[in-house]
Amino acid sequence: MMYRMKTSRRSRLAVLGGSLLLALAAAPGLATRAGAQTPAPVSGGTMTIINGSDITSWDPAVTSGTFPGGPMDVLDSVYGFLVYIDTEGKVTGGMAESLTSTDAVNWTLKLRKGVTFSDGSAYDADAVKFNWDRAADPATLAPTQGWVSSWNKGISVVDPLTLTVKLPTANANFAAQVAELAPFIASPAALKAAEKKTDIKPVGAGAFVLQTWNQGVGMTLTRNPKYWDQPRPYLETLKFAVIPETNSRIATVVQGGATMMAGYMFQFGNNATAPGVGTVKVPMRGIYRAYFNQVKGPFTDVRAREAFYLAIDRARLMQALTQTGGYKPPKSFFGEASPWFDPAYALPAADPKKAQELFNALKADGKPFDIKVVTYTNSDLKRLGAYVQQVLSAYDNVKATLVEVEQANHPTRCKTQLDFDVCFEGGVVVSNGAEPVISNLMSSKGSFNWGQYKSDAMDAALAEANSTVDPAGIKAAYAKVQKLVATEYPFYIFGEETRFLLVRNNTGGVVPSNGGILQKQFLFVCPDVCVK
Amino acid sequence: MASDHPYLKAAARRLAAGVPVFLVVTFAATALSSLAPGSAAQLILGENATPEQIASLNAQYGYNLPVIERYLLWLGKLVRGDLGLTLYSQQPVAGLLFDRAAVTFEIAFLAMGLSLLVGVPLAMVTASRPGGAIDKALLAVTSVMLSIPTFVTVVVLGFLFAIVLRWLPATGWVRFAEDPLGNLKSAALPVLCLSVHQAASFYRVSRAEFVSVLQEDYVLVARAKGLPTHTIMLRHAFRAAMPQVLTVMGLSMTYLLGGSFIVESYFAVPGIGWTVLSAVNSHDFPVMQAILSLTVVIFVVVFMLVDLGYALIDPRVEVA
Repeated sequence: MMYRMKTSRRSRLAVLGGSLLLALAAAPGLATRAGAQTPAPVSGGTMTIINGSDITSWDPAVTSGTFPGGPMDVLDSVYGFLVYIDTEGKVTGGMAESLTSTDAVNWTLKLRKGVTFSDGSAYDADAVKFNWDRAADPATLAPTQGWVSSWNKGISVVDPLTLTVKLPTANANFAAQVAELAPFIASPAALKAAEKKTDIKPVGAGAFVLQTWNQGVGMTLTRNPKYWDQPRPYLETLKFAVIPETNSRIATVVQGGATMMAGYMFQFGNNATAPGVGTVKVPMRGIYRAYFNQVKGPFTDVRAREAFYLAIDRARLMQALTQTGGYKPPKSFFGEASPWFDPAYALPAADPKKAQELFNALKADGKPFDIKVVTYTNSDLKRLGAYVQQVLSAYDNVKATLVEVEQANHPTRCKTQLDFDVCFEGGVVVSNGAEPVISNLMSSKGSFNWGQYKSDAMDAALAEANSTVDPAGIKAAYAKVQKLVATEYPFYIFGEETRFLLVRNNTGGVVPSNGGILQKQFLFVCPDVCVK
Repeated sequence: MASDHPYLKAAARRLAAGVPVFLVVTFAATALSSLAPGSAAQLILGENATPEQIASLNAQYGYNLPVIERYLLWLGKLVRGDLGLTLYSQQPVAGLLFDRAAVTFEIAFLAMGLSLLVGVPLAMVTASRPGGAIDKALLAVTSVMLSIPTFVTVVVLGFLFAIVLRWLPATGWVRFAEDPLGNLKSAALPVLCLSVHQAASFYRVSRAEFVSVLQEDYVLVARAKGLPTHTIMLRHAFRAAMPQVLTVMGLSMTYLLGGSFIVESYFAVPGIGWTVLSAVNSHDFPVMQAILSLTVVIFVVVFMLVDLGYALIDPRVEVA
């Protein structure tokens, strides 16, 4: 079986025809995926995307999640992704034509002809190998070093446009993992020239070229005239502005001071219907989660984790977080629309009586349910934390202490220091495609596994799902995963949500990928209203 | 000799007294930054980095050195005029400081100017008829203005002028050189928010001072001579009330710089308040230290100018 990563013909058509019309003809399909009503793309213009924080490095080896507005969303402008994951969870061509395999062990990366970095050097197989070898080098300090070093010895450069990777074991999700964990290729010359990580200059072959970067304020990029997919990018100028305060970001878009911001409908409120403004759904299901500390404290006992699920009505918890109603507690890691969803295994619904019995049993066994709940200091998370504390305080033999930390220090507190019993995350993690998110969250070596849940059965089930190419086999393996989720409670899944973009109503070409990042080469300014 | 001039000697003495303050504040900042959770390495490498990788990068940047060593290294560079580069974008800190301070000073001076323009003339009007209806009304209004914290003012005025009326930009900053009108528009909301408290403060102090001065004998003589009220106010009362207003102006500068942290953050104005908050959150030590140093210098200079200003305005005051 072939894992398909289709090559787009849009560029060739556009170049061959020399006509804008041909390029435009390809756009409606993209527009449909984006959920926006995009008319014919128009070249020129400026867009400003507001993010809540600035990037801290242009190092292509530092990858940290593909959520909209995150660092990888910014780096995509300059580097582009080798391959993307579309909203259906399928891997598609990006800077590379394809990344395919017939046996899940031997993978072939086909690059595009004539692509060059903005310094004029070739974007070829040697450049890809250099970047991946660099990521595998412990001295680079890439967070994905462990993963890349597990396969980079199997890289072979066949010719300038072809590179093969022989994996040590079968991995059907390798292409998706590359799209999430190692998608950026920078000019080797620029990387070699940098003495320190922060010295790295952003020299890529992506849609835009960095012009100015004012740290903590924003940056300006202009279109890369040598971009491989002409006439894209359509925008002449792309700006990123940094505005940490959510309400200020919203007000700026509403007023026309910027083009778009990512968030959730509950944050936008009535602003979503303000004049000149529209919303675009990023059609990827994400889950809200919290981590149970499984190294020390009450949650090392599975009964405590079960009791936590039983004690709190998760629909009401979501209501406390979002101040809107109508939520249904997720039944599993996978959404009910997922091909991997198995209704046989569901997370428990709230049952206060049973929760109290478990709390009493824990107390009787000398394991009092005395927990430290860590959240961060934005108003939504404060409400959520207060609700958790309030609900738990109604039970006997239960004590919950709320600790609010600055968002920037949240990973340090929870992941690095393990100084929590239950640690809530404020944003969703996208779980429409299984990997690499599912393994990152639940395998014993997963980088999102902040609570350090360890289960040989889970590791085996995840490995089984990765190693098979048979859909029935994958489904069977994920059924085992869901059974473990519903019986071992690796982490706390309390809500599901999709992100939205609050945009000016003339924002065209919104094409979300991976965890919600936008493919900026498709963005264009509509001559008229094109988003409701 | 110029150095014998009493004003210069007084200025030099006050600046010298500021040196220990400078050293204590900047050292404390270094020490506190070491105590803060997280690190620059954690931010650079992201939340997926291992503790070993974070420790390794911290070592590369010297963030694992003892506090005193880090401080002395920084101080040594400062003495050589080297403020370093911003940690992430590698911009020269000196240039960044100049750009951001210019924004904050523009807002602070505009806010002070607006507050003085509103507060002092109103005080002159009501002081001439203390206890009148306007006086009572303004006392009530200014009580409200003084009791509203800046973090409430920014939300209310931002909502009103940016969202409801759409007269002013909700966020951002336009440089004066690029677009003078745009610059004033982008400064308007921050200036208004800072002026709410300050105008009330200037009004209260000036009114009390004018009321007091108007009861002095020389004012009564002036009245007896038949001078009109506005002449008495401008020629006699105004100068006599100035020392007190000057003191408030000095304090006002500290309030405006403090308020800039909230106002700049809310309206996304890239001044030193916004920058230092961002630097603290992002563990950008060179930027944080540079801004703290600048802030200490500003405070020392402002209080020195206030002291010297007394002597210039009031001949009875001698500089020492």
